[in-house]
Amino acid sequence: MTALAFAPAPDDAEFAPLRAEVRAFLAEQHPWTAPERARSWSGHDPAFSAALGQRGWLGMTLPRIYGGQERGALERHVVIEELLAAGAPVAAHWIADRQSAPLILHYGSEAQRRAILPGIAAGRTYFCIGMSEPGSGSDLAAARTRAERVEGGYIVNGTKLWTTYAHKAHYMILFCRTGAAEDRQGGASQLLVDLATPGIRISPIIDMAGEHHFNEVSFSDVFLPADALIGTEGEGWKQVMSELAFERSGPDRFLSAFALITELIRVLGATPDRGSRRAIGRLAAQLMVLRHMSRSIAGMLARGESPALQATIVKDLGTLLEQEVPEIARTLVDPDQDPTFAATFARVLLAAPGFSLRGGTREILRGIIARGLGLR
Amino acid sequence: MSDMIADMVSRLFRDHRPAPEAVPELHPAFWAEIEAAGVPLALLPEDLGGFGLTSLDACEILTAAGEQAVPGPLAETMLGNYLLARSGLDPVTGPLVLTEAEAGLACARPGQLLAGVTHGRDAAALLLLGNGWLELHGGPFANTPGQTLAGEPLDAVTLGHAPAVRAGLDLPPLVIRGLRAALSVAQMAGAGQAALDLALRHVRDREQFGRPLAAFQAVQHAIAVIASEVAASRAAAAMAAAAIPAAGTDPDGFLAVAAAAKIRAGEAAGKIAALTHQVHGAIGITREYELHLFTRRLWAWRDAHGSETFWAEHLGSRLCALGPDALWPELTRRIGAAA
Repeated sequence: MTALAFAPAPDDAEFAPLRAEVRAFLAEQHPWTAPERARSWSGHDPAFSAALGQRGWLGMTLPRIYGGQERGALERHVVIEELLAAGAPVAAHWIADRQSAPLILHYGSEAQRRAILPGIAAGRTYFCIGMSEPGSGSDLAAARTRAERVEGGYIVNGTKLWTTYAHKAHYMILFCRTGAAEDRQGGASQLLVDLATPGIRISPIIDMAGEHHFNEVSFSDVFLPADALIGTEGEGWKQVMSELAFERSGPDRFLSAFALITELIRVLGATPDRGSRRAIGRLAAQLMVLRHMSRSIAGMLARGESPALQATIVKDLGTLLEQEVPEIARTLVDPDQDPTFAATFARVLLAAPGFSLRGGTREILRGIIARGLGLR
Repeated sequence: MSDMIADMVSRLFRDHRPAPEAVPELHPAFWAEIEAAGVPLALLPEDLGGFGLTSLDACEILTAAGEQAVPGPLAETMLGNYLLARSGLDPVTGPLVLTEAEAGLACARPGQLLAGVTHGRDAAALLLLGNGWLELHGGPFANTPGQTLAGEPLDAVTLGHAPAVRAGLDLPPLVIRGLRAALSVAQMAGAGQAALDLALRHVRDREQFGRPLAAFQAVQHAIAVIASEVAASRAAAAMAAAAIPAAGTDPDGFLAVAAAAKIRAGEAAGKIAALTHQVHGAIGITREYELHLFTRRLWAWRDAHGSETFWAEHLGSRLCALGPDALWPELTRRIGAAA
């Protein structure tokens, strides 16, 4: 048998009070409209992030000495799925909480942990991702941004691209070359970059929906102190792969279109035609099984396993569903018949192509799955 | 499940994997081994005379059976004995088959003909499941053979004239159907896994254009899709299995989960069958090669006990009636817990 086992999802009975607490908190918030909810983890609201931090719902799994709550992966799963289903504006802290904090906890120095993690857990310190470049998208190992060793630190030159919310983030975890240029996966490192450092220029890239999430971040002779190094020099490839595993493992990979599904049910009403009921049933079935798989991954993480392959599968299946939702929605409801539905539909449709690009393209994910099965 | 039981049933099923050309036939010796392993009582909770397996364990046994395409009414016997125990009757020895009584039927007539009985010819006893009642009929039965599109027995059974044992049944017909669907999802997960394993072996061994098929990216991606669908199918099986104990206490919740599992597994079945055939080429559609043992079962099982369409209508009707604000609470509802 092939090694793609998903352990049965653990029972989350003991977390029912936590779930109720999160729901009560969300119900108190200013009610977001359906098109706002459809922004899902693109909605940026530092005050909301800070409020979550205050309640102990960010950096939940971090040790207390770093501002965390020492809670488990399953509890964190409860909180983030509730936030996503509610369409809460989580973008400010999302990357920091999801991948930067666990990376720093795992590979960072004690000084980095103490300096950075409490701010993440408080919902006040935000991160962006420093992976893609103009000449290096899916082919991450082709990254050319380079950090040269100099007295007391590094001089960085190069350009990062598609950097979501760099213009509102405090830090970037920069994946760059520190070794021989011809050495593809060796000779790479990760550096902690304070985005206020002189020599960094952040330029907006407007997406086809007219929104500003993406940026180009260029580094020209940027000096970073030696203690900016995260983990070990030359081990950047291994480290960035574990960062990507965190990036891929969550319910953010199948709930992006959830607001449109609820809108669909609202517009269809309580007793729509048979075809519509079947379509809703099918979408719900997909969501239930994906959620089971996602909770299974959280259970494996909680036991200290590394379900990177399982996370890759959930992301591929999840984004397929997310992209199908607007296509199904438009067969059931004429978007023109309801302005709120139309706005929600438009938001999801225009975001949909990105679902299977961000965090690793569908093609990259399938290559990873094939490798996991021993075909590559 | 303890690894020891898992190993034992896996080995037993592997030893009885049918040859691809053979007409499926249940040998008494195989059934004796199944009984010796305790499989017919696997769904019974300990307080009803079971030996302490969880519903997940029981469904894993069915997945292992699906993986080897073994003959015989395993799922039916497991469920039948569970229903007998729920109704206060003793489990039976020998293969047990199930028939859902047509709506409105209050009891069976002596000599009644029951059409469409899965594994009918193998039955030592037949359990007729009505609305609020069940009847246990002992054999032997007159049998008119038929088959599913997987070549599994789908027979017409004529009841004898001996009186049946009757008891009340506390599960409504739709919940019975949900239970049968949940068990078939477990079997489908196994068949899907077996089809994936055959496809993996084939793409590694088969060379074209001077290299193994596995070296082609298009083939790698097809295999990745198959593996993902198998993973979804297994997850659906685990999800449904865990909900089985709540079938009586939270029928709505159980039915939602069983429906979702059957819908997802049915959809996976179609994709797995199509893609495993595609990567196999012509050898995969021959009778002598094993793939059809699994793809034909996937096609037959996805339509058994409610197709995707049937269950999607059930689940969708419920969710539409509850309205948009109830969707997330429903999706996250713990089955067995109060709504």
